[in-house]
Amino acid sequence: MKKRRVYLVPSLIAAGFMPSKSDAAPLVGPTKKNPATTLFERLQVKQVYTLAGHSSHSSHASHASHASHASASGGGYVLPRGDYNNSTTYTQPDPTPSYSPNPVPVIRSLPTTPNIPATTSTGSYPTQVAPQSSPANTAPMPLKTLPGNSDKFRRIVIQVQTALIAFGYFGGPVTGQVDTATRVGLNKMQDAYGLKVTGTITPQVLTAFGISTN
Amino acid sequence: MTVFPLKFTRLASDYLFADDAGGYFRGDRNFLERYAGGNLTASDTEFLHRNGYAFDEVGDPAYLGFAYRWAQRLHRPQGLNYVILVPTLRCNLACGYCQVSRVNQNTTGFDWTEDALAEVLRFLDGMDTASAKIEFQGGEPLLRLDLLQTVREFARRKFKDVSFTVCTNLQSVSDEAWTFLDASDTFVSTSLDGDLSAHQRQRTITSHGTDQFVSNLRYGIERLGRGKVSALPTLDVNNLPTPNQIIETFGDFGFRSIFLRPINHQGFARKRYQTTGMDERWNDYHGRFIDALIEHNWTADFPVEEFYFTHCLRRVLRGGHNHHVDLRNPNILGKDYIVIDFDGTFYPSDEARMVTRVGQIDLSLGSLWDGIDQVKLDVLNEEATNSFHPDCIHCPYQAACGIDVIDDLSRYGRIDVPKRDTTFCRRHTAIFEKVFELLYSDDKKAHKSLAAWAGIPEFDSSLAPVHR
Amino acid sequence: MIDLRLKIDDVPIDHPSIVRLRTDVVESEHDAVLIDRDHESQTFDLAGYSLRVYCGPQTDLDGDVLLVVPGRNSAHRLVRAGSRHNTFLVTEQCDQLCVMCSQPPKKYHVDLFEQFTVAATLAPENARITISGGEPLLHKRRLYQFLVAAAKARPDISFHVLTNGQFFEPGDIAIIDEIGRDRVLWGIPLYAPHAELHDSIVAKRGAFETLSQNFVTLMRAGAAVELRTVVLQQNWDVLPRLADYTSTRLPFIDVWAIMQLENIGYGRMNWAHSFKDTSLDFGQLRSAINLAIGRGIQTLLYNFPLCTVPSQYRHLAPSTISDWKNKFLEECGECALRSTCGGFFEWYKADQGFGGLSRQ
Repeated sequence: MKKRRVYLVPSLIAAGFMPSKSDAAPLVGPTKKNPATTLFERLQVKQVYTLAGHSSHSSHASHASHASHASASGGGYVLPRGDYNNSTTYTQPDPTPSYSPNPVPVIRSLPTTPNIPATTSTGSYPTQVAPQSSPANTAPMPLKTLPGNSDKFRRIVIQVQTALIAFGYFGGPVTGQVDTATRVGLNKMQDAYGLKVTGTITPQVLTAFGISTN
Repeated sequence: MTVFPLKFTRLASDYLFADDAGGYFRGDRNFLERYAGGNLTASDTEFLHRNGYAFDEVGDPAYLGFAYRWAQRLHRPQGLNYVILVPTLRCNLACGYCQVSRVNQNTTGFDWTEDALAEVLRFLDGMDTASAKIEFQGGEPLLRLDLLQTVREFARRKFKDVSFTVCTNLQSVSDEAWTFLDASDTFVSTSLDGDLSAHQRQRTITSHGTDQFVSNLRYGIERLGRGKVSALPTLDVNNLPTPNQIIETFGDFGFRSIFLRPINHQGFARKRYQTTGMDERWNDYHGRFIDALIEHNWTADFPVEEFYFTHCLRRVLRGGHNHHVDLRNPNILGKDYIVIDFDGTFYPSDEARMVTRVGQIDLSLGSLWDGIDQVKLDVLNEEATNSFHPDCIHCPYQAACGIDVIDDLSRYGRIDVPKRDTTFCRRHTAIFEKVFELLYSDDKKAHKSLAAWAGIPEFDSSLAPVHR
Repeated sequence: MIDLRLKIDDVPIDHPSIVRLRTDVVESEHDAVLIDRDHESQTFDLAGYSLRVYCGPQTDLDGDVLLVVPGRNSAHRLVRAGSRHNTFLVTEQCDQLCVMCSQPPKKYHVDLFEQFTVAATLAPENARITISGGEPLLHKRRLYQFLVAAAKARPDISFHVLTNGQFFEPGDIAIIDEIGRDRVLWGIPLYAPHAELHDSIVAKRGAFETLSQNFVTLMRAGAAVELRTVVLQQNWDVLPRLADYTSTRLPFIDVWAIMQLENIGYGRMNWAHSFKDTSLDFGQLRSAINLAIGRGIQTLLYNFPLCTVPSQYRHLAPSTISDWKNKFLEECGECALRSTCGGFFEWYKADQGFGGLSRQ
C-alpha cells in the first residue's frame, strides 16, 4: 500500500511536464504473425540467424551457413534429352513448366495408402503435415512425385499381379498397387523359384516372369 | 544533391560535423563556410555523397540507407522482458551512500508479504515474452533466499529462456545460497568500490568485514566461474582511488570490465555550485581513467575496458546499440523493464525508486494491486526523447546520446532545465569529446584500446574520416 | 569429397520422383524402408518394389531424400539427413556470366519445384535448405510457390536462397511476408561499389543499377540478406570502399560474407587473372573488415583456410565449405587449427593457390 506523503515536487506538472495527450498511443511491437505495416516497424526487426548448433548472439562467433553452388560434377539432375521437349532459353523468365500444368500451389492432399506397415514413430522426423490444396480443386489428385503413382510403375505392378494370379500365387484383385496380399503372393513365388524372399518386386521376379521395365 | 543537415562543434583546430544518423567527419572552417553559404565544391559534393551524408533523389540508395541508419539510432522497446525485483529492503551492511535503499537486518515490515509474493508471480505470469531477465536487488536479496527460490522456480517454468541476476554484497553467503547461485542461469553482481581501502571506507567499515567480502568474492569467482560474477565500483568523487589502484584491484580478481559510477547523492538540497564542481571533477577523473586504461592495455595480456566508455564509443560508431537502459533514445519508461519494490509498488527505474523514497518527487507507477499507472507513464514519456529537444537537435553527439528523465528529476526536480546545465548532458558531452579525441588521435596505444573496445580486430583510420 | 549421387538399379517411373530412405520407421508415403543389406548395397521397399542402392554397408542413409529420375541408374541425394549442407539446384539458367561462377549456366530449364516441395517437407527437423542455380528467381513465380508451400508445411525449416538480386519487385514484399521474413536468408552478391566494375565482373550491363533497386525492395520488405563478395584481383583495391558503401547504403543486411575464390567452373577458367592471394597480402581486407564491423555490419570470411588469415581475424572465418566438396592438404597434417578450419575446396590446385600456407 502506498503511504501518503508530502513531496518536495508535488506533481509532474510542477516538474515541468505537459499534461498527457489523450490520443498518445503506446508503442506496440509487431507480433510475429502479422506482417509489420510501417516502414519503421519493418526496419526494426532483427533477424536471428543460426547455424545448426551455434547461436548468433555474439557478433563474432555467429556463423551463417555458406552454400556455394551445387556439385559441378556434370550439372543438374536431369540432363536434356530429346524426349523431354521443354528447352527454353534463359532470356525468357518463367516458362510454362512441363511437369505441372496447373498454375496453383502444387501440394494436394495425399491419397491414403493403407498398405504401409504399421509403425511406431521413434525418430525426430515429423509426419507429413496435410498440405494446402487449391480452393478450386477439392478432389484429391495423385501426387506425381510418388513413384507408386506413376503409370509405368502401376503397369509393372499390374503385370506382376497378373502373372502371380496366372501361376496361382495370388488371388487378385489386380490393383496396380503392391498390397499385403500381393506381398504374400510374391513371397510364395520367390520361395518357389528359389529366389531371395523379399515380398517385393525385384529384378529377379521381373526376369522370371519375362516382364521388362522399358 | 541534398546534404542531410549537419550539426557541428568546434574542436581545437577545426570542426567536427555530424548528422542525425550518427555519421561524422572532421572538416575545416572553410568547409563550414562553404556549407553554410551553399557554395560546395565538386570535391565537397563527391566526399559528402560517397560517404553517405548526402543523396540525389528521395528514395535512392543513399537516401534509404540514411533512413535506415536513422531508424537504427532509435530505440524501440519490445514488450516487458526485464524485471527488477526488490524482495526485501533489509540489509546486513550499512553503506554510507545507500541512504534509503536499506533498513536494518532485523526490521520488520520491509519484506514482501505472502500476498505480495503471490502478486509478483501473477505479474510474471502475465508477461508476454518467451525470454526474460530477472534481477534481484534490495536491501540484500540473499536475506530472503526463499523468495528468490520461489520466483526462480516459477520463472523457469513460465519462460522459455530466462536469466537471473542476484545483486548481493557477498558479505554473508550460506551454503544454501552458494548452491542457489551454482545454477547456469543465475549470475552474481556485486559492489567492489574501487580499491579495497575505499571499499572498506564506504561499505564494510572493518577489516574483518572486508576480508569476509574478499574471501567470498574469490570463492564465488572460483566456484561459479568468472563469466558468472561481475562487480561494479561506486566511487566518492571527494575521495577517489587512483585509476591504477582500481585497475589493479579489479585485475586481481580477473575482472576486465569496470563500470565507474559516481555516488549520486539524492535530492537537490545540494547547492548548484557544488553540483557544477562535482561534474567537472568527475569528468576529469573519468578521462584520466580512460588514459590509464590505454596505458595499461598497451602491455597487458588482456585488454580492460571502462564499460560506459565502451558503450558510448560503440554508440558513436554504430546504431542499434541499445543494451544499456540508461542511455537510449527514445528512452521509454515502463515499457521493456520495470522495478517492483518490497511493498509491491512499481517504479520505472531503480533511481526512480530512490528519488521517491527520499521524498523528492513521487515517481511510483502504481502497484501490483492497482496495476501500472499508464497515464503517469505517458506524461513522463512525453519527454523521453532527445530527437526534437531544442537543446539537442544542434548537438553533434545527439545520435549517439540518449536521455534520462529520471536523472534530471532526481537532480533538479524539473525536466526543463537547459540540457547544458544538467549533469547528464555534461557527463556525456565529456565522454563523447573524449571518444572523438581518441578516434582522431594518431596514438598507437589509443588505437589498440579503441579496437579492443569497439570489438574490431584492428583500428582503421577510416573510422575517423576527415574532409580536406 | 562426398558424392551427391547414388548408383541405383533404375526404378520404373514416368516422372522425377521423391523417395525418402528409412532404416526402421515409415511415416510418409514417400518413405522406403530398408529390407536388405549386403557388402555393396542396401535395398529398400519402395511401395512394394525393391529399390537397390549401391553403397558401402557403413553408409547411413536413414532420412536421406532422393530424387529418382526415369531411366536413370543414379539418384540424387537432395537431402542428406546427417549433413548441414543440403542444396536444391532449381535451375541452370542464368542471366549473368560472373567471372568466378562455379556453376556455369545452361540454356534449358527443367521444372522440379513440385519434387523440391515434397523433398523439403521430408527434410529432417530444423533443416536449413539452400536453393541454388543458375539464377533461381528466373522462375520466380514457381520458386515463391515452392517457398510458400514448404514454409507452411514445415514451420521448422528455413531456406538460404542464392540469387543475383535482379528480379525482386515491390509486389514480392507480400509474398516474402507470407513465407515469413525470418524463414529465408537471401544470399546476394555485390562485387564493387560502383556500376562499371560490378557490371564487368558479372558480365551484364545495368546489373548494378538493377541490383540497387532490388536492395531497396528488400530493405523495405525487412528481408534477411546475406551480402556476398568474392575477393578478386579485379575488386581487391576497392574492398574498403565497398565496406564504406555497404555500411552507408546497405546497413540493413544481416551479414556481409567476404569469400575466397573457388577453382571450378568459370573460376577455374579465369583463375590466373582473378585469384587474389590473400595469404600473402591481407591489407585491403583488414581495412574493409575493420570498417564494416566497426560500423555495426556483421562480417565473416568464407572459404578462407585459417592459416591464410592473420590470427586476430581467424574468429571471423568459420568452416564454410560444404562437406561434400572439401578436403585438407597433406601438409596440413596435425595442424592445431584443423578441427575448426574449413579446409580447401576439393578442386583446389596447390600450384596455383596460396603461397603463404603454414601448419599451425
